[in-house]
Order: sequence, then structure tokens, then C-alpha cells
Amino acid sequence: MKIVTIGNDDKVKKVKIGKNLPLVLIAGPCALESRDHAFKMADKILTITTKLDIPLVFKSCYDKDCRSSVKSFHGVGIDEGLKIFQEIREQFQVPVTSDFSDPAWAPATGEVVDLVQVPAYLCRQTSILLAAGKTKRPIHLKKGQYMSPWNMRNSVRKIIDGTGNDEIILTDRGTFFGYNMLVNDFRCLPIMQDIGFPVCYDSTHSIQLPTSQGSVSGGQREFIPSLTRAAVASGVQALFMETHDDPDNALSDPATQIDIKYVEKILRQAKAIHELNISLSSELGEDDAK
Amino acid sequence: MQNKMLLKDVVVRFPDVQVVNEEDCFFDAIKVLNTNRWGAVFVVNTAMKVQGIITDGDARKIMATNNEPLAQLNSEPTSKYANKSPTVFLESMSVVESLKIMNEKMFLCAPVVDSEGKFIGAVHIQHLLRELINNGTI
Repeated sequence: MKIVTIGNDDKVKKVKIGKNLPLVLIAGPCALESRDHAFKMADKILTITTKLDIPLVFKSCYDKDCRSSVKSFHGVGIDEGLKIFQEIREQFQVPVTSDFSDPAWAPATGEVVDLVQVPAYLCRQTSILLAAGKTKRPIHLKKGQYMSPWNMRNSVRKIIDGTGNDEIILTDRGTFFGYNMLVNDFRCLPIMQDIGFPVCYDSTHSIQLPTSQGSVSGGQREFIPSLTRAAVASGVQALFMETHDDPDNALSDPATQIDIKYVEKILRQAKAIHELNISLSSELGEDDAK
Repeated sequence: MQNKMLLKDVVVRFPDVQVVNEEDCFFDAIKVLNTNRWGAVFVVNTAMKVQGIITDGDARKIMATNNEPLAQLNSEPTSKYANKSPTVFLESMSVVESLKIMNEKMFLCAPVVDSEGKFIGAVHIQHLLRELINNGTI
């Protein structure tokens, strides 16, 4: 399995994601709501991850192009957003990541962020994948809710064959189960690892009930802890979480962001399970059941 | 009298022999196997080095023992299922020598490479026998 290193320069603490390496957290508020809020969240998350010694990539988004309604908060925009990301990475010395929904936004995004995220809905769009690859940054490629894990190989090949960039992380964020409902098929974790890249579990979007509330997505946050434990036990290399200090009043994805007050407990469990996995793997060997 | 005909004189050359890339989906290999009338498909890398072969028999065994969803099997890389150590003939080898090896090891076709190990084409036992018959050797 490939080891992916995140961190463009020495201004940030580099993060490595790969087999038998410490569990990595990619986390932050769903959207950049304001500079002050982003700074507050970065500080709160870093306080927890520093205490638990968990490598962090700070995540947010400057443009929410996939909202259920045109009336929904769309984001602070690329110019303001990238300025905030730049300030956060320099002030907190933490790698940062954002997604982008238009190929034209990729070059500027790649100039600032350490990890370029491809939104799940767009995971098979050739123009988006090539634009991501051309940034020469590591790419966080989320499995579309409609995609099979084995078909993610095609998206990976588009990036590698089209741009030569093979610094890729694959993420499961749930799979459509009929309409307005996601489920996690944890078989997809080893299947995507078999493609040769580290796999991440998005524990907050996985409990989403997409656009189940008319023009807004719902979610069942109460399942985040148990699904997180199950995914880490299944052997993921990283966790993705959207977190907020007041999720009910968040400007984006209020039903799926986990309140920051619960994050430390979940991460302590996740880290312990991950370390047990590594120690058992060292003692008993890799999975070999046929 | 020993026939001096060499494989390079009779080999069916690429692209008349279709190949699949090792990263191509297994289903791509099956499509070629179903239409190329060779009973096998040759697997190469981007440098045209032979990475393996999938025969009709291999495909049958793969299908008969597969437990994955068919869409998953179809989507996996050909390299996962190819026989990775097929007998490979050098183009400078004689037709008679290659026929002896095919007869001893009981296989019907083989990839042919040049002195740098690059895939140039393939030979089938029927092609080779036809050449020897046409040439009056047998």
C-alpha cells in the first residue's frame, strides 16, 4: 500500500497516511463560515488531537456546490476561503484540505491546500479528476454514494494515467440504499485498499440521510461512534469527520456534523482500536482467510 | 533434414495479435479472449513486456471458483488473474524447437519477444504446423 505524505512545505507538520502508521484525522467544519469560526474550530480540534497525539489535517470548504437548495449557504467563496486556509496552516502549522467543484478552481486551491479533495458526487468526472491530479498535491478521492468500491479503480486510473499523480487516498462516505438513505458496506474498505492506496472512513457523512428533509439533508448522528469504531476495526488508515461547536446552527450539513464536545471520546476509542489492530497484525499476521 | 525456419519468420505480429494491458479490467481481457480466436489473451505492461497470459481454461477456472459479485470480478485488473509465468519464446528460436516445447509442455500458443524481451507477437501450434506442411517439411 502506498504511503501518502501530506504537507507542502516546512511551515506545517507533515502527516503520513499508510499501512501500520498512526491513525490520521481529517477534520473541521463542513463549510468555512467565517474566519473567526474557522480559527476557533481549528484551535479546538488541535487541542484534542495534540492531547491524543493524533496527526491532523484541517478540513473545511470554501464553496458548497452540492447543497440541496439554491437558497442554502454556498460558502465564503474561493478568494476569501483560500486566504483563511493559508492563515490557518501558517498559524497552527497544520496541513489543510478543501474540496473543489469546478476544474477552474483547482490550480488556485492546489497552491494553498496540502491535500486536494474530490467530492464524492464528482468522483468519476474526468475534468475534476484531471484537474486534481495536475495540482501535484495528494488527492483525497471520496467514493461516490452511487459507486461500487471496485469501480473506484477507474477513477484512480484516470488520475494516474492522465496526470502521473499517484498520491491518492480513498474514502468511504456511505452508499445509497434506495432513496434518501445511506448505509456502510464495510467490505468496501479492504476492496478499496486492494487498489493499492490508503483508505479513510468518513464517519459523519456516512450517517447522512441525503435531502431527506425536503430541501435539506438529515442525519443520524447517534450512529457516528459505533460506525467509527467498526470502520477503524476494519483497518482504515484515516478518519474523516466534520465537526462544529454548534452543529444545530451550522450553516451547512447541520444534521451530520458531530458536536466537538463528543470528538475526544470517539477519537480515544478509535486510536485504541487502531493501535490494537497494528499490534494484533504484528502478532498474528495479516488477514489470510479464503 | 532439420527445418531452419525461425519464429521471427512466421510470428503473427502485434497488433494483428491483440493484447491487454495489465491494468485493464478483467472484462477487457474476456472480451478479447472471446473474439481473438487464439484461446488465450496476452497481458503486457506499458513497455510491452509480457506480464502474463489468460487462456480459455484459465478463464473457465476463474469463473468456476469466483465468489465475488460478477461486476467486481469484471472490474479487477487483468494482472490479478493472469498466469504470470507463461512460456515465452525468443523470435530467434526455431519453429521446430518451439513445437517440441509446446508438445512437451502441452500448450497451444505462446507470446514471442525480441532480444530485449519486448512482445512482438505470438505463435499458435496450428500456425506453426501449417508453415511446416506448406514448406514440405512434414
